[in-house]
Amino acid sequence: MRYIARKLGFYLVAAWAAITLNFFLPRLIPGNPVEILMSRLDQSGSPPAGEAHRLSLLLGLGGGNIAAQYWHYVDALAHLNLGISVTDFPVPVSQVIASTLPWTLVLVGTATVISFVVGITLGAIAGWKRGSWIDSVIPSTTFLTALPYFWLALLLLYLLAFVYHVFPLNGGYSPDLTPGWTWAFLGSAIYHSVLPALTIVIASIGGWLLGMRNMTVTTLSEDYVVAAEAKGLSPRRIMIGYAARNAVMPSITGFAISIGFVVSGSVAMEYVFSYPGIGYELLQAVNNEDYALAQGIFLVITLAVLGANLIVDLLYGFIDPRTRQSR
Amino acid sequence: MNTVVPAEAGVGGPREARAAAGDDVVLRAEHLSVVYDGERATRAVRDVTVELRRNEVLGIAGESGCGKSTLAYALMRMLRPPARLTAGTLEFRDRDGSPPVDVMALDGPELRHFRWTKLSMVFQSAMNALNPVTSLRKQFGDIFKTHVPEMGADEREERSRALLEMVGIDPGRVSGFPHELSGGMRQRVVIAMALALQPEIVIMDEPTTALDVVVQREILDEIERLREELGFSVVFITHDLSLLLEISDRLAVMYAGEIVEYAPSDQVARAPAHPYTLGLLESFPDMRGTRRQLHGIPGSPPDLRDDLLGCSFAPRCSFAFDPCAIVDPVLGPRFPVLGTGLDPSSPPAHAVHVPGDGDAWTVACHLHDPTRCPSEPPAALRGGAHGAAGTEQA
Repeated sequence: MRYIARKLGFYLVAAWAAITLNFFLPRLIPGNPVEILMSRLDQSGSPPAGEAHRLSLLLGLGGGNIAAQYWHYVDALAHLNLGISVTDFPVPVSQVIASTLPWTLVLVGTATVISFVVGITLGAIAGWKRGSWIDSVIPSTTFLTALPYFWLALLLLYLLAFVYHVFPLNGGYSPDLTPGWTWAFLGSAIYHSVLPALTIVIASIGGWLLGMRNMTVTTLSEDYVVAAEAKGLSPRRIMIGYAARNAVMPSITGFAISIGFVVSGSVAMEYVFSYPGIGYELLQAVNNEDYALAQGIFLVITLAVLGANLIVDLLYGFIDPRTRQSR
Repeated sequence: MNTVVPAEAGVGGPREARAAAGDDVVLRAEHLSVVYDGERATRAVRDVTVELRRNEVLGIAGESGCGKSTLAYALMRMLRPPARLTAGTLEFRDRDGSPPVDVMALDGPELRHFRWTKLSMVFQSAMNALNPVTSLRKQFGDIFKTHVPEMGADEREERSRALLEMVGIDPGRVSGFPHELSGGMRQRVVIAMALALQPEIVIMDEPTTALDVVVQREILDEIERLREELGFSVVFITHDLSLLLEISDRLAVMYAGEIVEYAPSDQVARAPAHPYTLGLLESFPDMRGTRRQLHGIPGSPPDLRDDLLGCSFAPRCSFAFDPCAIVDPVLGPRFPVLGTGLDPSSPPAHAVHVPGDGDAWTVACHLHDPTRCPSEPPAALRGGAHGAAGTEQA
């Protein structure tokens, strides 16, 4: 229990630091969102006088010194008020994130988990049966990992969507359908997600496979594995409970890091597939100097990384009793 | 070799005679040879024949790289590539009198069942022989689940606790993890696990090498106590000859993959028959005896990748004579077969040993072979002289 409390405390401090950084960073960048919005309004007719001031109030860029601004920012954050998006004016940032985040979470999250589970399983088997056919497949998966990610995405898109119309070219669902919990929509969403997910799995599975395979080989020469064999335990029990159980540790750490980056890590993929996820939205925000949106997305990414790390930290304490020791 | 194991004796041969005489052999390994494959294969165990009798402690001594551990792994059939068994038979006799088991013929599930129920092992590095990420409860449980599947969870828990208690560890530790235990405690847990299924034989490969002498003593006393309590045979492997002389009933001295002397431990210290055994004995101090000059053995063991011509110890042996360089000596009776040449102070019991019985004292040295060395072996190898030579100087 003390272990968990100590971890939670640490993560709270880290979250506060992240929030504070998130406040200061945009203010160090030159440029002003009000000017951009004003120039946009100029194109559609002359805006009324005092509009710029009203806009800056609306966007939470009000006056006062930096401390007052900071207080205002934290207070707004506590009410989940992240400001107004310039890109999708006047939709609140929290609403933009809420509508794009699930797409990314489900797609990239699922793909990452699939890649990890399949990679770890095959890696353990390859290490266990060193020198077998599965072991000889590993170099080719490493080759796939070495390919530029966006290039792989384009290649798959070209072959499977453009040349042989197996999968759709872009989007997250068929434009004829309205999002909702209907079978037609879910089916369409899954159909649209196969290709992007496949890209992620192909590009990342080699790393898991190779890492796990090598750790398994190392673990197999450990005394406790030899001892388990002498005990006459079944090969299955030895492989899972003794070899893989110990070999998986470094991969779990790697998994924590990649889970944290699920939210942000696939900007290129979402761009290539025009997928309605948060990575695509982030790109829009940066292009439009949409500070409030970019800031909000950064905050979500930071908190996601922290949250994922916290979960894996706690999980690690569960799978490796040695880290549970409270000093 | 003829006195220890007559190869393929016919009906009424010495082997049957011995069995009839109640000679209770639990494990008999004959002509075991193990090589490590490589560009030039390393012949780590060379035609070794050993037998282990019920409730006895057989000590296997020898310096690093002499093939002791390889022999232990061969007895467990645990050799992994590049190690490979090239020859030999392995026969196990259960205490319930069921027909002998040809261990070499066991495969897959049969072999897994044989392991730990009949023959268990305490590994060289107890520190690492326990799975670091699972509780002791789970590790005991794995043994019971595998070998006694009908045992319920409550009984498993009870047995695990009883085993821990048996080796002097708080039963509450069953929920603990290996890293929470000290080295000595871990070694006790490993011993408890080895005894979990009450096997006939426990092979102990340097079980106390990593521990300090005080803990080492505790563990040895513990093993002795458990052996009296439960009755199992032990193959005890170590480079520590003084320790072996104390705890083992019989002693096999290995050199360059071969057994060079096979003797009752209580007498070999006084009267080593092989020059190598003599060298080992002179290289450590006698705990209770008088002070004397310690000597090492000059030179180093041969490269086991080579074909060794003649006696493998000859280049380091101060007694070497002509045949040693050409002819490989085999295990045969030591020279004063009936104790005639022994030091007068040795107990008379020694004089009545009959060649071929369990206490046979064999040695692989031409000095003890009357057909090659017509004169008596040097005094140091006939007993008595070794101790005397040292004490006079002290």
